Amino acid sequence: MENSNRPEKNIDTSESLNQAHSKTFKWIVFGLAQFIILIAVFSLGAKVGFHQAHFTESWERGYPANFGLPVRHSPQSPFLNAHGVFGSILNVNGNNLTIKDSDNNEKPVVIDAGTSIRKNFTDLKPADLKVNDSIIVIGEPNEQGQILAKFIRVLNAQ
Amino acid sequence: MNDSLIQQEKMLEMAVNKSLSRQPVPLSLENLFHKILSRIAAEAELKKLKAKLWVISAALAVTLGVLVLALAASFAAFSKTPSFQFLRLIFTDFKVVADNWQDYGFSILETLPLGVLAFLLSSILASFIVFDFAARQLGNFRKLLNAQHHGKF
Repeated sequence: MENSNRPEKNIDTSESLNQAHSKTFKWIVFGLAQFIILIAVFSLGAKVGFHQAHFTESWERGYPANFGLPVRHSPQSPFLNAHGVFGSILNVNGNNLTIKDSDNNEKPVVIDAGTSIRKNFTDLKPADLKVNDSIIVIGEPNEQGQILAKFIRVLNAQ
Repeated sequence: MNDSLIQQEKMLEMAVNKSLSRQPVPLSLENLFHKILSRIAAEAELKKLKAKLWVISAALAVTLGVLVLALAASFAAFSKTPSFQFLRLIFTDFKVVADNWQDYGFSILETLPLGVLAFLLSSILASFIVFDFAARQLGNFRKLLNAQHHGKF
């Protein structure tokens, strides 16, 4: 009887050990996954912050050249959004636009040959853009503190 | 039922059996002590659960209040930022968004009101936890009441 019971006990112990190990293993994997996600989110946040800080610095440095004023100017918000603008057109000068965003910052936007401009379902030319048009711009910041527009969506007047 | 309760029951039963050893024990008395003790335990449990339910309903009210506050704050914050305007582009200009996904992603990340969003998500999580706890406690309460109703105690 004793001999027949022993292997069962051993099996039970090894099973419970296996269970404990698998539980520990699961926690380790879970912790590692969380750590990886945390690092990914942190690095993404740092990247976004760096882009914003760099663009804000370029915007301040380029303010006299972009807006024809002799002095540097600080933005209304501590950091400017570098990759997109939503606001109304203040000025149209050929392929250069000045947009007033929701934080009352003036942002210079440059249109190039690759920029697609759309209103509803029709494609527009840069000359079709008018002062006070509400637009959404998606683009890339450059070293002159401007946004190089990749896409401009003109919204219908409300 | 816990061990001490079972032990108490046995001791009581033994004492009664001893005192009634010369008399035949009526059939109805056989489970009397067990029933009495079960009933006492059930009543104690019910009292505990009732207290818990008061605390849970207060927690629910607070969580719902915080959730409404978080929703209002998020609505106000989102209406000030252009995040929704950028998000809308997915539906109207999907091809352009897909072609410039990096700039588009950054434009949304830059405009998201993260503080308010964290507040909203935390309050949603808190309300889920409180709702889950409340549902479990209500289930226990209902089970206990049903058992009482069907005369199990």
